[in-house]
Amino acid sequence: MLEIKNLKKSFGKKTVLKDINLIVNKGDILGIIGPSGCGKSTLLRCINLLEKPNGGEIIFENDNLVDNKSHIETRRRIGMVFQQFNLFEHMTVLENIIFAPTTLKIMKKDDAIKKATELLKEIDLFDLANHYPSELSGGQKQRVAIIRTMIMKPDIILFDEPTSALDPEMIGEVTNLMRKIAKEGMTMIIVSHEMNFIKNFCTRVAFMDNGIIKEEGTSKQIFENPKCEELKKFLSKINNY
Amino acid sequence: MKKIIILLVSLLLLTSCSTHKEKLILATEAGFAPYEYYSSGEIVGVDIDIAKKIADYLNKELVIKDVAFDSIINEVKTSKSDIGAAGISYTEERSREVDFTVNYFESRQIIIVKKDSNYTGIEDLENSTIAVQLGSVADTYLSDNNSNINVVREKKFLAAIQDLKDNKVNAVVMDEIPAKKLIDDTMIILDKELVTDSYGMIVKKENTELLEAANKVISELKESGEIDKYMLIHMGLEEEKTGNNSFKDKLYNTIIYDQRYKFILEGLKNTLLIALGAVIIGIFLGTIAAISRNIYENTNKLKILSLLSKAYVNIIRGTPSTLQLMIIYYVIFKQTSINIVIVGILAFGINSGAYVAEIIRAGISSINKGQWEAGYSLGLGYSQVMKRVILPQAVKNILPALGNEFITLVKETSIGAYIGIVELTKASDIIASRTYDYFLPLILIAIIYFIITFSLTKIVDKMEKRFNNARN
Repeated sequence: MLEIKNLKKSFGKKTVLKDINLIVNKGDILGIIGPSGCGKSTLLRCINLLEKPNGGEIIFENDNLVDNKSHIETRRRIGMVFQQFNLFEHMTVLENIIFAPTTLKIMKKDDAIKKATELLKEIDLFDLANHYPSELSGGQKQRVAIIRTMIMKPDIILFDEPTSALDPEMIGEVTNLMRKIAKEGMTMIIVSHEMNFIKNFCTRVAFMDNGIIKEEGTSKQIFENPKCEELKKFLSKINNY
Repeated sequence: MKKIIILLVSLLLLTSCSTHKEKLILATEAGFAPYEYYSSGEIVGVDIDIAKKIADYLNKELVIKDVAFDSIINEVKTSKSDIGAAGISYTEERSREVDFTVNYFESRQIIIVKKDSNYTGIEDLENSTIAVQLGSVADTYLSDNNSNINVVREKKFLAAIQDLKDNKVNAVVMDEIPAKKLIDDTMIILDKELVTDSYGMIVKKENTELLEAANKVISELKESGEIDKYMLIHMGLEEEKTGNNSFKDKLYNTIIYDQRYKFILEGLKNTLLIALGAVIIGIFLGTIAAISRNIYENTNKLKILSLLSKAYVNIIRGTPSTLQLMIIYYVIFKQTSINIVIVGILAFGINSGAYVAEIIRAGISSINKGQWEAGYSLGLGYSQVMKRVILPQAVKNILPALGNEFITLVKETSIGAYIGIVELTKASDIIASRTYDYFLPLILIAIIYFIITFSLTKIVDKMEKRFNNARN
């Protein structure tokens, strides 16, 4: 479904992604872990073309995203959930959700409202449909943001540290929603510092360090049987903490 | 309906035909009685009377343009006006730029000092400070001949006299005739004149037809004694200060007498008209400039427009607005006779556009980058995100700032007086030139400015509050 070959990205003189190679298959729940500043978020942002790669290939369903075209059709099929939620501040919860499908004329307004209502009811947030984001808690905001992505029926969703900006008691409501979506068969890539969540939830885990993917395997392999020294060091630091 | 329109149009054409006469445009600075000054809302004076005779002789309609004294030569040189008259004395320097008619009056440059001072002549005034009117004969003479005198150059005789009144200067040098009108009983005119000079009107070089006509008319008027008569009439007309100097009388003189409130109303109208017109042009230009730059930064399109916008904003913000106004009037609209208020609207609009561009740019960049990214990640394009996500949020920052820009513009329009626009400040200037008192007209105009800007500030504040409430 998604294949990344020799991906490179630098900001000025600083090279953040040196040579990334990664394959994601349909239904995969891939966790990306690694020390701060190793390029995890940049990798996600490159996949969604929020950052323009300097070289390599990102092949999504036979379409190479690394060229100068806008790939606007393809981007619609790649969802993204941000650490800071990024709900549209001037729209209500409902407007936030129906904005993209109605603006892009993918759904009629009535159908979009119906679908949004349905999705909001499933996560018990329908009461807040006409409230503005500033009236919501962090956990509620992030769940609305996930719904907003879901209504576009993406093939894959990228989660960029979805729980890092949340108070601890709200993390559960967001991870529960992610679990629910995963059960429906969604393909996901998750960058997170929640090691327990990654360990229990992801089918595969990639360890990034210094702009490259150092080690990759099933969750069990990575957490219980790490091979490279950097990963061992990283995990021991986290366990001590 | 059609018939009525045709009727109206033909009527209009007819009336314009019947009054259609070629125009003789006279540039002057009204504020120099008895040669040119305002009375009952009109510019009158000796120079005007002579100019009217010249216009009659040429079978033309006289149109009077009130500009700054130092702009008159330029007006004539650039053919914006046909003839200039403002008690302009003949100098070598000026005659290189324009042609002078025969002189119609000889004037003596005299020295005014305080009665209680010991000055008896220019010899006593070495190393002292003397006030003159900028660009007048006195100015040139003192600058050329008395290098160790400190010369204060005022825009108006009246201001020079005020300087002497306030003891800011030791003496004033100016023409004898207005001097007699301007001094009060604490001042005295020294017997010995400094220099005698002669007044002539100016026309563009090579405009021999007009020059000859003017010379002929002036010579005839001089011979028949008409000019002396004009002088007496206008000096008589001048006696209008009420004897009583109470505040009430002063207020009456400033506002009611001679329908002077008309200047204030005219000034108010022009000030508001220019500010409003300029802010509309400014918003138009500013939006284009800001958005084209944003489009280029985000999509790499519209490179040339974006570079032009950047240059426009930098040039306008990097040069004084007075200069821009003068360049637009004297350089760009050099040959065209265009309504001066429209020039003002254009000049201030172009000026304002650069600031509006920065206001909009700041408004756009105040929106969190995450809003753009959320829009892009949902598969929306640049223009959709811009129109539906960014601008609706940026507006709450932009609108109050635009309100403030309008308030600034209301005050900025005061420099319109440079090219002769009768806006509020010019109106106060005109009134002061008639009442010989700056205090009341200036305070009055200041109060009017304050009332306008204060109420606008209140409106902007309300707008800001409403936007903030709408969001929370």
